[in-house]
Amino acid sequence: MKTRDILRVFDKLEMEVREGRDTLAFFRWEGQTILWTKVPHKRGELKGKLPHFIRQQLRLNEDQFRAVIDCTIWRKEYVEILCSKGLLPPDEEPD
Amino acid sequence: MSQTVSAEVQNADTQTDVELRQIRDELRQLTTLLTRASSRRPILLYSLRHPHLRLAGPLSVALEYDEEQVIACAPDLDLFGYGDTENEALDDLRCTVADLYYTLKQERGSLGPMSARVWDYLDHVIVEAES
Repeated sequence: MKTRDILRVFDKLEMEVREGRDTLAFFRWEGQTILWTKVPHKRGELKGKLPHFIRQQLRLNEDQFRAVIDCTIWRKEYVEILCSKGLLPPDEEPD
Repeated sequence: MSQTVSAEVQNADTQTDVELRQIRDELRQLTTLLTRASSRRPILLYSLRHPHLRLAGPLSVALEYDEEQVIACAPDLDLFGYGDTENEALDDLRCTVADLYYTLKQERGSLGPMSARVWDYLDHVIVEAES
């Protein structure tokens, strides 16, 4: 998996990206900060277990993570996943 | 009579084969578990090495090793740092913790359920130095 694949994931999930030592990405929903992750600036293949840790921070299983990369999960579906895990504020859950 | 004995021997052989296969499978699973355990080392982090932030108590960190790098993971904060060496990974984690502290502090009025829990813990474990 490459750094640009992760950057595209941030884009697809409409995460707020901030540059620092790494590229930081925050997932916000209805004005609330829900979760965060980061990816190195370094271009090219992500080393070793980094993709695993990023996936964990995004609270996705391997199939879901693959689906985001393959463009079958977008922000709407991601919100449903987070909602099913109780990670979104109760009052703001979608119908 | 000899046919019965032969059938019993064959049954015993089959049984032994099954048991050997089970032992082999269990050994394989044990090897996997041991490999995983040996690539993960728990430590306590006592300092953020930050000019304005100090830790009121130690942070639980797991150092994970793969073929190419070290990852320092703080499960209570849902954060990780990485680097070519343990020190680099820990320094990266320290910076990430400090960065998250300031980010969540700024946004503490609008945090989701998980980030609010992380902020509660960060606020408890990090003390800002008086300037």
